[in-house]
Amino acid sequence: MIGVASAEASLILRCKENDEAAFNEIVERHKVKLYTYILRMVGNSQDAEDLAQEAFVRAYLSIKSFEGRASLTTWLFRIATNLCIDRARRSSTRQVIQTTSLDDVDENGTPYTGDLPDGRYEPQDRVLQDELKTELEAAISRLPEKLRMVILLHDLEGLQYDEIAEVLHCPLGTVKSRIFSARQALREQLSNYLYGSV
Amino acid sequence: MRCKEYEPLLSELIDEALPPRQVWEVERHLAVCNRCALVYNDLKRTVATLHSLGSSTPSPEFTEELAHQLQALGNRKAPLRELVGSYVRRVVLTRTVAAAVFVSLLGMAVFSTPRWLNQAAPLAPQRPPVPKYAAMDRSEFMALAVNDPLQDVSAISLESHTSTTNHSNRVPGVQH
Repeated sequence: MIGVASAEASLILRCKENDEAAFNEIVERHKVKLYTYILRMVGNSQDAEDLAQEAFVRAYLSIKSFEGRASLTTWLFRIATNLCIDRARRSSTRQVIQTTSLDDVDENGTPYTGDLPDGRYEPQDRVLQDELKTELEAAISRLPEKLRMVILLHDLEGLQYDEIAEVLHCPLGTVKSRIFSARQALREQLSNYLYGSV
Repeated sequence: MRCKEYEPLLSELIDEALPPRQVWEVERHLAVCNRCALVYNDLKRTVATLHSLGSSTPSPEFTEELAHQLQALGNRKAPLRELVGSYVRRVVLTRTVAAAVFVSLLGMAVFSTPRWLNQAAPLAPQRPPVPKYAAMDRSEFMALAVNDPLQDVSAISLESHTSTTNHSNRVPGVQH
């Protein structure tokens, strides 16, 4: 972990010295995470690409003022989150967010799976599991924006409570309660697929 | 505690973010409360499914387009904010230096000149000009005048000089 942190610090230092290769490396390291997060926030691949590029451009312009108090990942997610919030504010009516369906195909014509095979379940369970994932993606897109942000940052991107508090500029307690509310909302929406919904 | 109070803690229990004492309390409650145990299991499965959701990859053009944007930024001399910042810095610096020089000069002008020099200096008692030849007797005067190439001896009025020879014992430069 320390090695990762020092490698990141070294990359940032190189970026501050106008080393373009270092910034390209940052882009390569973070583009999938950032794009996935933004895609789930805005629900549209073209907008997600535009916003992800804008996030990197903003990072490029302000990397010299990056002080390293937060991790680079947290900082990038903060930029991306602010862009998503700005975009949501700009759009006068909230659009219904489309989610990636299992019927979608990628550029190679391969059906979208978006996940690794889970060997814990029998074939019928796997079908159920796939349906659950599809439903879950749809349920995430229906969450209120504030709950969607925390659940994406925590359960999909792996940020800790304190890092999310930093990204969203809100107290730790708020983060915890939002994560719980988001999980509860998802659990209720997925009640048909879960074992013991009450 | 009632079930409603335990529910928020179930989420933190899944994240292993509870202190040991609360873990013990919640687990003890789950052991005796079927309803909360079911909620806990559902939440756990929801979270596990969330963790299994995959990532999406941006299009192959993503990096290239971004590189173009960054290149365009690099071709600009400086971002607007930097330009404004440097202009402000330059103006502020120039004006500060100018003001400092002005204040220094003003200070030097005021404080380096002694006050007594600013006032009209009292005049030293004026000594009446002593005629060059006033202290000479006639023979000395004539000897000097003859040797003086600038002096036209013929123009010297002997009478006018006579009036000055009364002071034959005078010492030049001393007022009597």
